Amino acid sequence: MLTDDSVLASWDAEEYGLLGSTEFVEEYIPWLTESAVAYLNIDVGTSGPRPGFAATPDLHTIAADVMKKVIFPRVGALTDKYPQARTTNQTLYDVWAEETKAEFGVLGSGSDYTAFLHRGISSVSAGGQHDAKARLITRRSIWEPTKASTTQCTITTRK
Amino acid sequence: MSTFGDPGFRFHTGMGQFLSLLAYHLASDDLIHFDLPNYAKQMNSYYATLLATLDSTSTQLNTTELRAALAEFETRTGEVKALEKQALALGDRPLLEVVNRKYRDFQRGFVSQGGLPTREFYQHVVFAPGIDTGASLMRARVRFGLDPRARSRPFPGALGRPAA
Repeated sequence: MLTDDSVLASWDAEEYGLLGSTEFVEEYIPWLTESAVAYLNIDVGTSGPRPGFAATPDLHTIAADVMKKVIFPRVGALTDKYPQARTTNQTLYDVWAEETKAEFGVLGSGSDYTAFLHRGISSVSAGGQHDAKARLITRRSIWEPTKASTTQCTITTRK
Repeated sequence: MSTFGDPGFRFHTGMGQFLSLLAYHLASDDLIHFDLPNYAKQMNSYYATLLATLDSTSTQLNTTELRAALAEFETRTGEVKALEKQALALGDRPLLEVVNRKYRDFQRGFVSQGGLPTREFYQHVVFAPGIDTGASLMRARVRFGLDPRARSRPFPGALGRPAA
């Protein structure tokens, strides 16, 4: 029986070349190669009410299924231009499908999933963007708590 | 945040619930819910994009081998999906373990080629950043500073393109 584990991490020095996460991967690559199932990234998590996801294709189905279980009401100052959203109990999937036609982005580089993806670990990256309708209040959020250049993540493993 | 950005922290809560629920299912469900047939479907769409790009230029490229590899890949993903269905239908735990291990290790197969030419940090043969975009260029510049061998090549971006 595979035993499971989840690791929560927060990276420094993302903007300077993904240094923190790359160092971590280089340090722990034997363990990661042996047991990592997936790497879940959140970067610029809630700077606006437009959820966006990029993922390796093996994770598309499970990620979309999970979105359907999460309530995501667009209310508050950021969404004053979305009056239709205030009265409905939309799921994260509904909002995401409205914003992106339910399309996942393709991972290349640009956040801390890079070192994991390029060592063969399935990855998903989540973010919440602003737009002209929903004003930018702050780029970073409590999901990137300590410095202006951190990303948070969960690494899921089975061994 | 509590006054203007996200009163009630509803977006924060939603994103947190998404990540934790996804981590929970990936770590704890009897089956790792990976969709490999979708991997084949997406790669076929990348292939179509490649052909469209080639058509728009005068470049000639023989993609026969790539086409054959994609067809083989599609067949294999169908096979593992069938194995998954069989394990679930029979409640066969050992077979389910076999499928889970295949899923967990599946993506490792894409990184065994030693990295992209001149950019060996990027080892995945399907995904890579643009050669002179964003964090890719940043990494090239950091490496330029740290690695004496890199300095024998032009400074990344200085001549309009990174060292390549």
